[in-house]
Amino acid sequence: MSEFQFGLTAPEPQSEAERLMLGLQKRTSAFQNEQDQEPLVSLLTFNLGDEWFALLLDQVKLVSRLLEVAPVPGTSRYVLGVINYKSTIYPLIDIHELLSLESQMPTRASRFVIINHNQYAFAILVDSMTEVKEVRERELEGQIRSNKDISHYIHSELSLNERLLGLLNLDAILHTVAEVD
Amino acid sequence: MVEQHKWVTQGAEFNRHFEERPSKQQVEVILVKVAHQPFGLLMSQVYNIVRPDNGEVTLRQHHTKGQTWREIEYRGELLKIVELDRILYLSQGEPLELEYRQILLSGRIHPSGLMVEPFGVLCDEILVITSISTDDLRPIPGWLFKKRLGKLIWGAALLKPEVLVEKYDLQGLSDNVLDGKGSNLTHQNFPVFATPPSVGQPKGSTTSLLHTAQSNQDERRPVMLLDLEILHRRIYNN
Repeated sequence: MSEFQFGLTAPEPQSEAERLMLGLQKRTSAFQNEQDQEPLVSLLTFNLGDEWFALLLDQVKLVSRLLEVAPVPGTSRYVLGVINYKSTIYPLIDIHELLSLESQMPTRASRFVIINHNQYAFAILVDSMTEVKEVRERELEGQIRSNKDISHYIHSELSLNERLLGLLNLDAILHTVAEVD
Repeated sequence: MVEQHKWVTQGAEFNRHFEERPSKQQVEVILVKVAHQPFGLLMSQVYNIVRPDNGEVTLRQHHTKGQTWREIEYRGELLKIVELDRILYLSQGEPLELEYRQILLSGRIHPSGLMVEPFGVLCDEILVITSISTDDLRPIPGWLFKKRLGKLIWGAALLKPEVLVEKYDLQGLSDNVLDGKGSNLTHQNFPVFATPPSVGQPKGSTTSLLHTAQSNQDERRPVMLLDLEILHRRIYNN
């Protein structure tokens, strides 16, 4: 008895289009699985002037509105003074000049970002905050295409929402500000 | 010699420690004005206050190259005085005449009880003498000014505004502070935002880490504290 007598039908041969689509689905699925296993990193993004920058969220202690700044003599020109946030004193650094940006008068959108980096705790002035974004770790290795003069202070550049973001290099910034030999 | 305290520099632990176990120890601090900024000196390091306009002080020698002091004659004795505005890099334009300023005398106490190796520090004005709890003292990171000032600034005192406001003339801000027309920023550009209106959280922020709601209730101002022992060493090359 042939198989046709049992109601079984032979599978129809796949068309080339179906085969191509199956192949594409497999490849997409494999790529997605690979992506899901990649570690994600959270970034805090903000503006300095018209430029976009970011910090690793792990480095950020908190973001504060503007507070009164007490001057400290004998500091480098990048240090605006110190702030008192909840009874703790943090140096306040203006990094506009380091990044070849014009310093702007603070506005109601300006914020202090208080950072813990290695043994240093300090604040930087930003012109406005944007958002916290998660990116893949490998995206942080983007090459720097910006001005060579400031590339020293940028760890890497990455594209986010059609914008170019510079991930700050805090070691280089502190090295300059602290005037370490 | 200023007592050096071991500080816990992690802010939350630091403050919680002092809140749970407040110190009863107080230090007397004399606040002085130097180039429109307040500074604090330990009263234990100040032995006398001299007003040059009372006729007891005569300028004898201006600064010579490499020296951080000049000499005056005080009650028949030569005395080295340090101008705080020069030593703190705050000199702007012509300094006030000696007779309009005030001199605080310091030195070392010999075991016999006599003061030896005296020197004076010149300030623009003496603001107030006040007692401060040691809980209100804070460390200042040395890396801020180590290169220029060394250990001259040894910390900061958190002072309530009313301690300073009557004496310390806070400079007002110009009307165009919100224009966004930038120039060189200084600390004076910030006081107007001390009590801003509330705004929403930035998009995508993590509440536990990022809080832009104004919850900082500490309105005390940091005042830098100077160690006169460091000046003594500079003058007498100890």
